[in-house]
Amino acid sequence: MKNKKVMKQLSVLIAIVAVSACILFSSAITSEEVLAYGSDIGGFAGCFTCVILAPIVCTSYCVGCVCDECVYCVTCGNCELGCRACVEDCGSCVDDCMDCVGCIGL
Amino acid sequence: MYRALTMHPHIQFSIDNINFSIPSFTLVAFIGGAVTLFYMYGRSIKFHVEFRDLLTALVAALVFGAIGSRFLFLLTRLPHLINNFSTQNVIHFFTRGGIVFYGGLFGVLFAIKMLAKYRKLSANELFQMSTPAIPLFHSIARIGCLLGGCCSGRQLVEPFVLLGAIHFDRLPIPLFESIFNFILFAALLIVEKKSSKIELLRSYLWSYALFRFIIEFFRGDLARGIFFGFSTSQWISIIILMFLGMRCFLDYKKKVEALKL
Repeated sequence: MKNKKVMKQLSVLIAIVAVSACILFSSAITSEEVLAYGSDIGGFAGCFTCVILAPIVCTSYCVGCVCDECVYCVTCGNCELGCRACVEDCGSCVDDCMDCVGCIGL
Repeated sequence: MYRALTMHPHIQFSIDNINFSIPSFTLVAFIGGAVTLFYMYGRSIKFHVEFRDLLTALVAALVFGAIGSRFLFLLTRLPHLINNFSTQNVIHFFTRGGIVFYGGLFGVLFAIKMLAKYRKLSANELFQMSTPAIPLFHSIARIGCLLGGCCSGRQLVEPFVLLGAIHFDRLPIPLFESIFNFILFAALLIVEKKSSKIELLRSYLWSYALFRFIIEFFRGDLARGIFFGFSTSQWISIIILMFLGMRCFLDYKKKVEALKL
């Protein structure tokens, strides 16, 4: 009886996780262009933060260029500091971008 | 041949010509959430908490945790927001901005407290049940930070090579936090096993606030804001430690007075 109850409760939890996973993956469907650029608006951190917050705060702290892959920043045309360097010097951004670290959060 | 540790803000793949691009942090936090969900279920059986209450607690923790983490982020950006005030900016910051751990933590604690009051349950029991889940989730979520490239540490003078294979240009603070949180999770379980009288939430807050205060000195993302030499998280850590210290003092005083009687 108790086992049956536990199984039922566990199946509810599994259903919750499964539905959440479906929502997560369906919202993650994207175009080939996005894959090619490697970016999309809607991340949490790193260079995406410029994209997300631009043009609101981007000039005060462009972010995330701990990355060696600043191709991500290409989509961010609003920065005047930091990530601008990534845009202009895309692909070899490491040194320039070391100055523009400042990921927001946590 | 060394391999530099680089960020991977998005995990991208294609299945049958359908392209997926998932933010790494979201994916890792989701995995952390799922692990925590099942762990909490096990704890709820041990603490004889009804399944319905567990689900309510989890939903409330999720909602208030999300609101808290965003709200605190908003507060850290207050000067900027005041200078550039518009409703659009506020909404944009709140929905698309960053998240702050302490805000999420306070949101979760508030949710548990409210649930206890609403459902007439013991708040202390609920905190005792939930506390180990906090560092457990946090230890997994920090891997998302590592992948996302955020919360980074100071730049090293010379790259540090780990296991002769991976080199770090910066201190991998999220990795340190992840390891610390996992050790803290294990330690809380050991402490609980040794004595069920010890308040786990208090032990957790002591440990994490102290750790966070120290580790913040090694963070490299100064743009988050430094006020009078300390970051926002350090100020919050100080407040937590002072509050806990005061509680300890008052408890000690009570004990002494009780002995006198």
